[in-house]
Amino acid sequence: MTKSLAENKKDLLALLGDSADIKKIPIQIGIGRDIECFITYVEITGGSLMFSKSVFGRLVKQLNEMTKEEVYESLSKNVLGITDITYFDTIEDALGGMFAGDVLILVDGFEKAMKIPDKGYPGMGVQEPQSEKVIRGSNEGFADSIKINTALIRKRLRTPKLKVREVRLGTRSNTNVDIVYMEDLVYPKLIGEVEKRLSRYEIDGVMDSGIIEQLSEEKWYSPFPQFQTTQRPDRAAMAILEGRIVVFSDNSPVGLILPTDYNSFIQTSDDYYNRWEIASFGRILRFLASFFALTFPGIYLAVTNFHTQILPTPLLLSFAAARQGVPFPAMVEVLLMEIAFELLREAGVRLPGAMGNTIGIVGGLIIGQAAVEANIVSPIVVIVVAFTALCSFAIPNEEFASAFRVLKFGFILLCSWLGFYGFLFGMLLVLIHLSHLKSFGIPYLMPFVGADLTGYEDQRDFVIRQPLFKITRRPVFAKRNQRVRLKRKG
Amino acid sequence: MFSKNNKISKRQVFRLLSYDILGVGTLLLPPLLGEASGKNGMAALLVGIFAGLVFAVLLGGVIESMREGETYPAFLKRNFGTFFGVVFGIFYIVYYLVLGGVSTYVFGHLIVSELLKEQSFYWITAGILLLACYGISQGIEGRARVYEILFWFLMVPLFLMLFLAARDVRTERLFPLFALGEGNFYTGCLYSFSLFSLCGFMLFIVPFAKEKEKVVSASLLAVLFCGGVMFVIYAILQGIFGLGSMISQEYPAVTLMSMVQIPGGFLERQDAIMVGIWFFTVFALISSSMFYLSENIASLYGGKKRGVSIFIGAVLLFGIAVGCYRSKEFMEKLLWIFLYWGTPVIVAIPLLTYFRDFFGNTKKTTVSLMMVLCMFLGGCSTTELENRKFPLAMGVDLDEESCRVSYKFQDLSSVADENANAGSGTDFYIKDKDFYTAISQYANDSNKEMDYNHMKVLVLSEEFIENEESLEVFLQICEKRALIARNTLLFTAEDAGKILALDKNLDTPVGTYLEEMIESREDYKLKDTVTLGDLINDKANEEQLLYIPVLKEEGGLPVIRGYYAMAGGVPKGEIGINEAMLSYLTQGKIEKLYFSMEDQTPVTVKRISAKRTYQGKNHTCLVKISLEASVEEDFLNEENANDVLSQRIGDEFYTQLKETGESLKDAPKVDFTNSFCRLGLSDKEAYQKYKGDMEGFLRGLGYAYEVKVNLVN
Repeated sequence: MTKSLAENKKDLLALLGDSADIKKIPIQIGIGRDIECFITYVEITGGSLMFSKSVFGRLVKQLNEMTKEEVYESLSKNVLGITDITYFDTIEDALGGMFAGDVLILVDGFEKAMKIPDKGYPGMGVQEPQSEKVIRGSNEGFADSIKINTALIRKRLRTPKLKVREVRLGTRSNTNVDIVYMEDLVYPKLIGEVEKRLSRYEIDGVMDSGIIEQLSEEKWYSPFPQFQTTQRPDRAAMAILEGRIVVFSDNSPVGLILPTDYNSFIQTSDDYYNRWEIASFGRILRFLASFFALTFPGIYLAVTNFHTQILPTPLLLSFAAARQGVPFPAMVEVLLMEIAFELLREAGVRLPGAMGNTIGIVGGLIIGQAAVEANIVSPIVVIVVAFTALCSFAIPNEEFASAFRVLKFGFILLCSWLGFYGFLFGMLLVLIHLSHLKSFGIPYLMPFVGADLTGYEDQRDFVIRQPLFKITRRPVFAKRNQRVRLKRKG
Repeated sequence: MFSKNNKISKRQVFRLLSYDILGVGTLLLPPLLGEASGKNGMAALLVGIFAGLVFAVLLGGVIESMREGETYPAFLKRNFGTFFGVVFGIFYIVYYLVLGGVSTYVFGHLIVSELLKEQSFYWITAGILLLACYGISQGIEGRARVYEILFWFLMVPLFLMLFLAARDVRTERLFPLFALGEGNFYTGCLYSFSLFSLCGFMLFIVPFAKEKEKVVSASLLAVLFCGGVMFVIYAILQGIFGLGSMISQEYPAVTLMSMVQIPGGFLERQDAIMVGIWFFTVFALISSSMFYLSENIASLYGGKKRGVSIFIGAVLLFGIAVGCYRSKEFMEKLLWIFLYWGTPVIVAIPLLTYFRDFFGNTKKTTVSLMMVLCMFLGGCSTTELENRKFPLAMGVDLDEESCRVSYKFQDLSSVADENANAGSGTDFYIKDKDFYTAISQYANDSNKEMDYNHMKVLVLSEEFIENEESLEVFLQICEKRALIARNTLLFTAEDAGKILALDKNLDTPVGTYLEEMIESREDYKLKDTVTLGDLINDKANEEQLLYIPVLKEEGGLPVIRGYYAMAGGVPKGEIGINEAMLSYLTQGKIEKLYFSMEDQTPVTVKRISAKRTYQGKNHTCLVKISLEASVEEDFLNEENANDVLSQRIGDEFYTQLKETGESLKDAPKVDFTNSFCRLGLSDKEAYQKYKGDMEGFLRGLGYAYEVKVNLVN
């Protein structure tokens, strides 16, 4: 940039073109109104110049009471005390700042552009998270604005050791991406690795953290998420205290937690707010739920089509009696019901809230009952599919649960072809895959495996969540010499 | 950060080795050991475990002289020069080929014989080898993690099942523990050691171990752990099946799982589920063999392109497994090579170095191939539930030189309709020249597939049991084809078909009715009820006395009115209920007994303990019985004072036992104390003398009784 407003303005307008939503306002400031200025901002993000409560309005008002020299001095030294002023040396950077939702000011005779926050882009405020509901604990959820999200973390972790690194991704979207971590707990290499992976691709636009997730994960073919997602600030703050990193993308209410493992996906925030017995019981249920969400329909097919000797005779005869008159093979019957259920789920998600609930009632009760009465499916299959659905809903993380829902179909096919052998084959395949899977170097199956890495300390917070006073050390994610998180005073 | 170091912990080494040893060991070793060493099998097993421990300690010395990060093939080359290093490498390649090939065959055969009877062996082995390729494609870490996570998931159910099975062990079948002249003891030791010498895998694990010095302790622990488990399994198998029956089975450990009943259990039979244990453990040995095989192959050409060596290894293992499947002789030859050539060489090579020292993306292709193979998998011919028939009872009669098989099926419509008569099941009978032809004919004629898995009761006619040839064929079919569950209750009757036809008078299907009748009995212990498995075992062992309940019709209902004695697998004839109960009494199998004395005083007897001791000196069996008796208050008077009554009850028992014992010895010529099967336990000399000669033992056998009664009124 130069000191000449005309030149800077020319360059700026050349880049901006004629966008109708961008306000370009020339004004004159100073006590003699002898300094030319050029203000530009995205419509909506800037307030009225005359509005005394607007930051920008107050700035202009004050500058209008200064001499030319005073104006330059106060701009260069920020004597007006505007807390969030940013100076830019190039027009491109300045435009990036403006598109972040701030007001850009170019002043004749001043060789820098200034960005001053004003109203900013409209967005939703802090709301209750849609997923990861808890009975006990905070009801705050992340918002679309990255600044609100980092502030929500800061609100919970009031220490200078909490660091936020900001990068921009997307050549056209210029999306702010924040990397939040606890300086003394996280492995420095990990931060480097995260930054490396974020810069691995050049992408035109980042609309959500999901895009970052997919471009940064190691095994693209794995259905299992290698990042943990959360909409809960308390969950993210806890992860940071464990030595993990949280990545936020602007315009996304979902934070990415990394590294992660199977165990972390099964945990919920209120596991730590409830008594250990209750929390442990919940975890056992969720581990079982994850197993059955994957395998239950497959096991049903393997047992009824191949290994009938497993079931008690009265139960088996009931199954056989229930199947009488059903026109489809059991596999087709299960697949039909599973697909019907997935359709209901999809429809329930896409429809507005009240209608979504209606879909559940219509699908679950009316269609289910009608299908049984019409002898299209047997009642036992409805029970199997409903139980499987319950299990998949009991998994706290949606992305993680989706992996089980998808793989479930694989198990259905394997078990209907190969019976219990197919089940064992599938289990082994999934286990081998999981044992190969890593999230930023951490084995996915920690602490099922490699628990000795932390002297078996991680197993205190595993299927059984031991009493809090016993969980004295941070998990494997934290730096080796920074693992103590709880110690008795005196 | 943590997991790319390609290092595994001590715990992972222990679990890897344990899997390698346990899988094939528990499947193959018991029958091999029993056949080779007879009743000395347990002693041979202990020697093998000890030798395994010594071997592991000696290998520790070799490991000490290995350099940090040095692989075993590189170590051999450094110590013996390139030429001998390559030669030794080739030895190892052959060893792992044999071991992996046989393991792959065992895996495929196990699945085909136990889980998927109509599936192609070739596709199963090809599929599992590709899965193993995927498993080892990323080095040892992923493999170690799989077994680490699975360890307790598999061991806990196994231990639980063994604990439950231990209740049914007949300790007398384990004795004598060491008998001279029983089989070849040294061959058994070699078999046993060959298994535990698999701890030699540790030499290949060393460069991958986080702490080199802990590899040896992990291996020792693995040998001890597996040795302990093997010993328990072997003892349980021999104690439940008996030596003869155990040897005659291909995978007795799997058969055992089909017999164990979980108390109050929801599951009817869990063998299909428990096969999972061997699925994972044998898979572990396959992938270990393939891993070390590929390491050795790779070392021959400098270790580049590991994917190629994995692929070559997989193809070779597949070829060997197919060879074993097609030719039993080939399989036996390989076993011979493994035992008599492989094991000594595998022991000698590292020890040679020990003494010498002392003195001086292929992955993508794999996944694609797997997917293509899956497309070809035709799958099994599944049969929907409604397309199956579930006979709950089966009757087998001899009818004019032909075999008549009667079935009793549950009427499915009565299951759904609670008002229907549950006993009104459908029945059917078919006649053909023998049992096999009859059931095969019926299977062909029927519009549905026969599923015998839920058969409760098998009724064999007396005539059928007495026809040696028919019974032999029947038992062979039951054993080899595993058609009918071993724990199916066994009954006999004059006409089995007629007993099954009584179904129409019952409110439950006749199979369920008879099962409930046995379960509700208070007299003898439920576990002593004779099952099909008992008959199969005894045909092979020829040492037990079995009483098969005889069914008769009374008032339109089936009732037990006698017992058919089978001694050493030979039919002896029918005896009365009272005689059978007294016989059970001498064997300590009675829980509770009601009887009337001569003056009709009713007596209830419980807390019975009986001890049989064979006294070889005078060829006599001493039976010591102590029991608690109670009498209704009304019958107690001065004449029947406590001590007098105790004496009278004791005398009554004494007389009855004496008379019964002698009369049964005359006809139907059975030793009602069933002492023959306990000879190994009580008198080793007599065991050697009468081995296989039950009739000789009975000749001149005398009885002595001591009855101690404690009146608890």
